[in-house]
Amino acid sequence: MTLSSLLRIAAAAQLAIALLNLFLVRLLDWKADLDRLPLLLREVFHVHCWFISITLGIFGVMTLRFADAMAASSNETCRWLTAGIGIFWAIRTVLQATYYSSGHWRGQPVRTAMHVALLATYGGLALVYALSAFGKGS
Amino acid sequence: MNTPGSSRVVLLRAVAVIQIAMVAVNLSLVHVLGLNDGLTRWPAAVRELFVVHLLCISMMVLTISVLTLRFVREIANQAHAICRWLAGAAALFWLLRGWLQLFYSVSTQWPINQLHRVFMVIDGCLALVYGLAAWGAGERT
Repeated sequence: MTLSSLLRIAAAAQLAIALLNLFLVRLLDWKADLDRLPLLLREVFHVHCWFISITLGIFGVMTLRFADAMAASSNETCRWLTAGIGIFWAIRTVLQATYYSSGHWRGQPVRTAMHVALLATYGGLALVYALSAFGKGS
Repeated sequence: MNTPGSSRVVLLRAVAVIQIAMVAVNLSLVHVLGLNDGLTRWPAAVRELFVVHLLCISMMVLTISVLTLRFVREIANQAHAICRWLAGAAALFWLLRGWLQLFYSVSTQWPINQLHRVFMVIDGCLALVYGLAAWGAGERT
């Protein structure tokens, strides 16, 4: 599989995560918890969720549009952009592994599987973008 | 000679610096808005996700700032398609941010009402500068 194809898959994955993120509160059944919060905090929480989706949407669309140039490292801007996205996902992977309390998934097979799947996805995204930024190009 | 490109370079550098300052504000948002007490009452999972989202948004803004500073001339002169797309993406990001600030967040909820207005104006200016860089008449090379 070529780096260009991997980048297209990474773009599709990010667009899927962006979409899922919009339904996060419903998926995790947090509506009752959020309704008890002060209005301002609730609004900031929702705005943050939307902005994560916008960010991932931007990463996804830019990657789809410039997948070949990113894979070929044909231009310095592409290399820096892929490095930026790669660092973003590397930090997200570290946060997923170290920041969240293990109590959220320990002893719950479905949640453990989700945690591992997310960790692998985030790590995979970091790896693909790192290869594109710091590899020799195809 | 003062060309559209050179004035854009100055504006783009200024917005990059403003964005770095906004990252600093964003990272201390909970403290600035005096929301510490409210946040500690959140369920742990929601609170942790809130912090992760805060960090991710800060990283995104920092990425845009660094790219803007590093490729300021290319973006100002629309040297490559990716520069225009990058500026367009940043413009869209800030336009949506300004729109949400204006229409979604209830201004009376803000402990510091002037801060709400300042954010709105800054978001609009950032969107305008990036929009000009993306869609304005440039000096493509």
